[in-house]
Amino acid sequence: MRIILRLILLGLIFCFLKPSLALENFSALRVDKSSQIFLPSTLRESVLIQNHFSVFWWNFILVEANPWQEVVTLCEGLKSISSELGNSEGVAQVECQPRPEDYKSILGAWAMDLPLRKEMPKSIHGDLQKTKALLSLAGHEMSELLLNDPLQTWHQLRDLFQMERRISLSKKDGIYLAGDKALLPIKMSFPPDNTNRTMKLISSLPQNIQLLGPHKSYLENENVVMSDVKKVGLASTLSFLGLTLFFAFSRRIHLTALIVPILFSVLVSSYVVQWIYGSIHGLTLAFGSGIIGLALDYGLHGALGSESKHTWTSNALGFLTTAVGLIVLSFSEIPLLRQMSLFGLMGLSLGFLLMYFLLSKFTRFFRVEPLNVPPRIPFGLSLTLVCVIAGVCGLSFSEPNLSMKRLSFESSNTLGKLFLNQAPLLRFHYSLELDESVRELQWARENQVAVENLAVYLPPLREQERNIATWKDCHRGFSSPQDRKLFGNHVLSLCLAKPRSRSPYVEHLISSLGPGDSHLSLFWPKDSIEDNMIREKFKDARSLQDITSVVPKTLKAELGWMFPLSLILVALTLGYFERRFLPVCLALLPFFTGLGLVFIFNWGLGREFSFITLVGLVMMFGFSIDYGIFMNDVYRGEENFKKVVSALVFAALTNLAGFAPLLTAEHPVLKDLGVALFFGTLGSFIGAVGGIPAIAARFQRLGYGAK
Amino acid sequence: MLLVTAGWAFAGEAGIKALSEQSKALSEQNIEKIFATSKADFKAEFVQIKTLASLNEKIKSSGRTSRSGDRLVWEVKHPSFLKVTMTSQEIVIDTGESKPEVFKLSDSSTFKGPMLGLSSLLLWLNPKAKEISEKFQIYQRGERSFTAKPLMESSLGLIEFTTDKGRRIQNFVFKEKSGDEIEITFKYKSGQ
Repeated sequence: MRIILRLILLGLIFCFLKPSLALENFSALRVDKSSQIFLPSTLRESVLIQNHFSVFWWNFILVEANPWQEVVTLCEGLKSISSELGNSEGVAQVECQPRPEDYKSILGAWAMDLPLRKEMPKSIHGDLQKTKALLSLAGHEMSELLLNDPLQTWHQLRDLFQMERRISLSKKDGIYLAGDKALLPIKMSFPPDNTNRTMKLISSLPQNIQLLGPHKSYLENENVVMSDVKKVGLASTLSFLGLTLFFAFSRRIHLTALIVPILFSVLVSSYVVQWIYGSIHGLTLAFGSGIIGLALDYGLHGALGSESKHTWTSNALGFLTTAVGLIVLSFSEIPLLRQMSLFGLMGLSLGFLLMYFLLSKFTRFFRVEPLNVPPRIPFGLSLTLVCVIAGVCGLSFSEPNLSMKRLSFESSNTLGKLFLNQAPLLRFHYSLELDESVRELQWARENQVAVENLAVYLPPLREQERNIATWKDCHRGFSSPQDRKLFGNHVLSLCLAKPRSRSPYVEHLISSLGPGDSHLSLFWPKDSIEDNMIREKFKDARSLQDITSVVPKTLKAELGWMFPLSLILVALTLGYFERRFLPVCLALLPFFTGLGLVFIFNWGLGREFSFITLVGLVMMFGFSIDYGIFMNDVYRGEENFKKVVSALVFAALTNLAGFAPLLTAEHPVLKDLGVALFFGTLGSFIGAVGGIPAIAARFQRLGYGAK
Repeated sequence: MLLVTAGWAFAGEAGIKALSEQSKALSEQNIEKIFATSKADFKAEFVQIKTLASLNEKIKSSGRTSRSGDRLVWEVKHPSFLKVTMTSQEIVIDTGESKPEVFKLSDSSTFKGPMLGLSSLLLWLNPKAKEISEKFQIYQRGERSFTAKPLMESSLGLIEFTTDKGRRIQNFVFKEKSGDEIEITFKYKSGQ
C-alpha cells in the first residue's frame, strides 16, 4: 500500500513538474516578455516617448561599405518596400539616396498648407513664372515636384528635415558612411514594443546587416528574457531531479511529495497574477523556482518536527516574517517587483496552507528521521563573525549601482556614440496648444539653437486664420490658359485652405495614443554649453538619459525606507511572540551572515551591488529569519537540535536548488537575484547552524533558554 | 494619360531595340570625331520646349547660353529670368531674387537627384568622348543625326541630337522614360 502511494505521488510530481517548469509554454498562460514592466510609473514618459512618438522609431542599418553596389541595392530594396502610411513590411522611410517621391505625401501636405504659414506673396504670379522657367528644364521627377508645389515651399521643409544637423557623418552617393561601413537610417511604421513585427522585418533583411536602435533593443531584451526563462526552467528541472535523487538515496524519497503542493501553488498563483495583470511576465514566472524553495521550508520543518506541537507555531512565525519582507517589496515602484511580490506572497501563503493540511492529515507518511549531524559546525562562530562584519561593512560603505541599465539587457548602447554629437533634450506639452512652442522657437532663434517643435512647422491657429484671410482671391490674375492649366488647381486649393493643428509633416511630434493629444519639442544642442543653456531656460527639458536617471534616485529613496521598515516590522513581530530581546537578535543573526556572504562574493567576483541585489536581500531577510526562529526553538528546549538542523539542511538545499538556476541567467535582473539569494541562503545557513548554537551556548551559561 | 505615358516609353524602347539591331554603337574615336570642333568655348541662343506627358502640355522657354572651359551658363529669359551655372562640381540656380541655390554634385544631399538632368547637359555641351562613351552608346541615324542610349539604369530613355555643318550640336532632345521630353534648339552666334 505504502509503495503504491509512493508511486502515485511520484506520478503526480512528474505531472506537475513538467508543466510548471515549462509554464511559458502553457497555452492558457499569457506570458509577457516586454521590458516595460521594469519601469516605474515615474518612467512612463520614457515608454510613452519610444512607443507613441514616431520620431523615436528610427533605427539604423550598418552594413559593410564594400562592395558599394550591394549597399546601393540594399538602399533601393528598402525604398521599394517603404511606405509612409505603413505596410506589411513595416518600413515607413529610408534615408538613403533621397528623392522627392520618397516624401510625396509630406511634401504635398506642406505645399498645400502654405497659406497657414504665410501671407499671400504679392509676387505670386511672378513666382509661378519662375517655376515655369525651372519646369522647362527640369527632369520628370523635378517636374512632378514643381507641379505639386509650384511656389517651391519644399526648400524650407528640406532644411527643417535635414538630418545632417543631427548626424555627424560624411555621405557618399546620398548614403551615410561610418568608417568602413554604410549607415542607412530606417524608420519603422510601428512602435518598438511590437517585437513580432521587428522580428519579421529582420528576417526579411540580408544576413550581413546589423540593426541598431530602439526596435532592436526591445527585441534583444525580450529574447534574453525568454532564453533565460527557458534556461532557468531547464536548470530548475535538473536541480529538482538532483534533490529527488538526494532524498531517494537518503531514504527520504517521500519528501519529494512536498513539491506537489508547491508546484500547485505556483500554478494557481500564475493564473491569479494573469487574472489581475492580464498577463504574467516571463521573469515573474522564472522567479517561481525561488518561491518553491521558500515554501518548502515549512513542509520540511513540519516533517522533521512532526512530534512537536511547537513546530507549526515556529513555521507560522517564519511565514509571517517572510510575508513581511514580501509585503514591503510590494510597495516598490517597479511593476515587475510588485508582480513578483504578489506572486511570491500568494504562492507562499497557499503553499503554507497546503503544507499544513498535508502534514496534519498524513503525519505518519511524511515523518522522517533526522540526519546524523554533528553537534557543532567547525569554525561556526568564526565564520559567522566574518560574515557579520562583512555584512555591516558592506551596508556602511558599499555604494549600490542603481542605474536602470542594470534592469535591462542591451548590447547596442554604442548607437548614440556612433553619430550623435549631443543627446537631444525633450519637452512634453500635454495638448496641441502652440503658445509654448512659439516661445521655444523664438528663444531658440534668438540664441541660434536648433529646435524641432510644432511651431517650427505650424503657427498658432489665430495666426493661421490671419494668414489664410490674405489668400482669399489668390486664384485671380492668371495671365495665360497654360498657367491656369499648370498651376490653377493647386492655387485654387490654396485659396480654400483651412486652419489645422495636425498635418503629416508634424505627426512624428504628436501622440494621440495617450489620454489626450500631446506633443514633443526636441532641442538639438551642439555642445555641453548649449545643453546647459537650454536646461537653464527650460527647467523641464530633459534627455532620455535624464529620464532614466530619475529612477535610481527614486529607488535609493525607496530603499531608504524599505530596509529599515522590514527590519522594524520583523523585529516587532518577533518581539511580540518572543517577549525577549536576545531571541529577537538571534533570529536576525542569519540575515546578517547571509548579507555578509553576498557582499564577500560580490567583492570577490567583481560584481556590482545593484538594486536587484538589494531586492533579493529583502527577500532573504524573510527566509533567513525563519532559520533563526527554528534554531531559537532548540535553545528554548522546545525542539531537538538534530531535527531542526536536518530541517535547515533540507530547506537550505531546496533553496539552493531553487536559486542556483538563476546564476545561469544572462539577464541582469535574474543574475543579480540569483547571486543574492544563492549566497544569501548559504550565509543564512552558516549563521543559523554555526552562529546561533555557539552564541546561545555562551548565553545559556547566563540563563538563556530557561523558561 | 497613362496610355500616353506608356506609349512614349514603349516608343523609346522600341526605337532603341530597332537601332541596336540595325547599327553598331560608335567607338570612342568616332565620338571624338563628331565633337571635334565642339570643344571651343561658345555663346548661343536657345529655344527650349518641354513636353509634360502627364498634362499633355508644352512649355516654351528661350534664353542664351555660354560655355567657358568647364563652366556652362544657362540663362532663361522667357517666361521668367532664371540663371543656371554648371560646373563638374556644382549647379547654382539663381532666380534673381533670393540667394542662389547651390547643389553640390560631390555630396549628393536631399533632393539633388532631380537636378542631375541639368548636369548631363554639361556633358554634351562640353563633350569629352571618353566620358560620353562610358555613359552612353551612340548610334548614327543619318549624316548628322545621332541617338544616345544611357548605359546605366536611369530615368532617361534616350537622347537624340543633330549637329550642324561645324559639328556643333544644333538640336537636342532628351526623352525620359516617363514620356516627358525636352527639346533644345541652338542658334550659335556668328563667328563661333
